[in-house]
Amino acid sequence: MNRINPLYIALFLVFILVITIYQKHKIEEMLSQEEQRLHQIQDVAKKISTLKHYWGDQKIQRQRVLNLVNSPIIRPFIKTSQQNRDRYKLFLHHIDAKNADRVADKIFNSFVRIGSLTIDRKNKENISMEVEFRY
Amino acid sequence: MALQSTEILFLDKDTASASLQGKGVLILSPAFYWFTKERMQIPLSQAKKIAPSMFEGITPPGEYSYYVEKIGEEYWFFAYNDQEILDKLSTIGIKPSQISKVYPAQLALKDIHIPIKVGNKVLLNDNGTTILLPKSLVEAETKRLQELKLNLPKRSLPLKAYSSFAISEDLIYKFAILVFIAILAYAVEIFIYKKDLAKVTATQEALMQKYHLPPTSIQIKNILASLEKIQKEQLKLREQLEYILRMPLSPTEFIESLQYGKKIIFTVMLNNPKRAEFFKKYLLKKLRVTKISVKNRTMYVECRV
Repeated sequence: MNRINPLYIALFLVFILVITIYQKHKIEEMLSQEEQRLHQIQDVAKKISTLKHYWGDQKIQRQRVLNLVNSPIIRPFIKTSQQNRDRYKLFLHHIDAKNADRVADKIFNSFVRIGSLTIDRKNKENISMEVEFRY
Repeated sequence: MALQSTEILFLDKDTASASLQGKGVLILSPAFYWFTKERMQIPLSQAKKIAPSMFEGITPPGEYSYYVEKIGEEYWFFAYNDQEILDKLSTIGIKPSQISKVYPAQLALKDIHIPIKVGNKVLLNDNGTTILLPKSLVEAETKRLQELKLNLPKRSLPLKAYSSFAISEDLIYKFAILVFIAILAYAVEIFIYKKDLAKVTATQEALMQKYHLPPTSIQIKNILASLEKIQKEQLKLREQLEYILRMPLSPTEFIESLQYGKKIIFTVMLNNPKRAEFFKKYLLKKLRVTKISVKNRTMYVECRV
């Protein structure tokens, strides 16, 4: 007669089951949220990495500007250049109209940050350009 | 179990009233059970299995519980109806929770050889079997149950106190087992989810380290926003300059000067000042032109970046 009522045991187990189900759903939801967050982080990380590679990394930007300046399309027309910690200013002169197009294309098609650009045409054979690159 | 102060309740079919202060031991009158004994060389577990067959043809049809106790070389078999006992207890106002143990008189009084007076009846040991007789049939001196020191066995009758439920006890146990299995299944699932969660968190941290991302999502968003702003500006700059430099000029027309800074200023040498209207339409398609003027053959244009 001292036995525990089996109905109480059953009810207790049902109570534990309810808690277990609740816990399971809670952790399932948490897992789903964390997985979603992981995907978001993955997407954002890749995006940031790509954008940094294109525009954000100072070292890469500096290297790209130097490569651009030393390219055979631009190098012959360099009059002078100015450099400081976060900028590079390039002065080009005596560019003919045909080469001016090529120089502009070369600059525009490179992943370099252009701060400002000035083009001044004296005549068909004498165009000068001034480009400021930012790191 | 020697009883000193524990209350003892003798239950007979004629018992009209009884009271218990706390918990008490219930001794069942022979009227509530069937008893048989047999000398057997078998283990107790096997004896328990054959208990129902020992009462075949003896007990009237009904639902019975069986109890077996080994006393010396003999097995004592009892058959009893739980519901009948519970109903009787209920009629005299005793709750099952008030009963700590239940013994048939045969077991409880096996060592007592003097007649015991209970109400207007007498419990008598007749050749090892406890029987209940009217007092008038017994001439010998009797003692009251409360006057005796009983040495009760440890094991007692497992009375199915819950058989009055609409759902049978077996069904409750089956249900409880199912619930338990479900709990186990869910617990395993929780364990797996927790492991997966730990993996996901570790992957997140590894990713943050690999891409040198700051810990908070606001900082990450700020970095992304500033990089996207740079990209947008640079692509827009290229698009606008490309649009200006690709103006549909005739062979003798040319861009005289161009300045791209906080705003875009450029001059175009035209063949004919009337051509300015055509270029104005062209420029307005993609640029935010703020000023256009023509002096002689030179068109002066100012645009917002």
